Amino acid sequence: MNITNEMNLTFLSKSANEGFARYTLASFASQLDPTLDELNDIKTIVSEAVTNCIVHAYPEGIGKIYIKARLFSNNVIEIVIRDKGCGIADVKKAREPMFTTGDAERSGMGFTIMESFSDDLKVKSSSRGTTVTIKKRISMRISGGRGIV
Amino acid sequence: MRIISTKEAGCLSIALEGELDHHAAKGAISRIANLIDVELPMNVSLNLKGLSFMDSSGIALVLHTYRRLSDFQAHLRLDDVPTQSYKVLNAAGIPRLIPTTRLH
Repeated sequence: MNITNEMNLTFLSKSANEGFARYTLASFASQLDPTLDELNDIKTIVSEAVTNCIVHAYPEGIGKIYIKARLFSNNVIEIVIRDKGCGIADVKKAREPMFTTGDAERSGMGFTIMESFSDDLKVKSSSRGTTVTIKKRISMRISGGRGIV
Repeated sequence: MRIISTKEAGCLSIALEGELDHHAAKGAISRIANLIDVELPMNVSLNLKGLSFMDSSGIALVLHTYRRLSDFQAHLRLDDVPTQSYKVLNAAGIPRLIPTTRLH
């Protein structure tokens, strides 16, 4: 599939940037003419991934979070969220529902929600950082209606 | 995020307004815990009508509140839950654990 547009975003792992990140990505994704539900799914996915970087990748301080997003001609958005933090010791365990090593305001449902709100989720992690790649297909309009093409 | 509370006939109503993410959750969890400790209500309604966004931090807030109330056999319900928030809560099975009404 052809790439029709691309963006890159780098920001500090401060919790005040969670809203900034999800609104920026939602704004970029709006070029695919998503429904409100699809747009909310993208905002939720980005919020979860960015929060994971803030809470888990850089627990002792502030680091950088890198987001790359690409739009494809088949109406798919790919979002890659990367950090250079401490990595996830056990990715399989981290993806289990209700598993968390965070504080009281974390539920351990971040990966479960990212997985159920997207069409594809890949997680790669080492001691040099973590990369989360998400794909979400946006439904195309058909002559005034809406459906998957 | 705004938290507005009212108490009537033993029921503490807590309305949340704004966006509930990790950035807002810590303060909100602490604020709700304080309200419960002061009022010691037998029933609490968390009204989510005013939430324009929620991520899994909302699940943590709901479970934290639920557990705190369960310590003294008090009850929690979730009212007027918007579609996006419901989808997040439903992913964790919350509506099967706590009585929930959706916003229409």
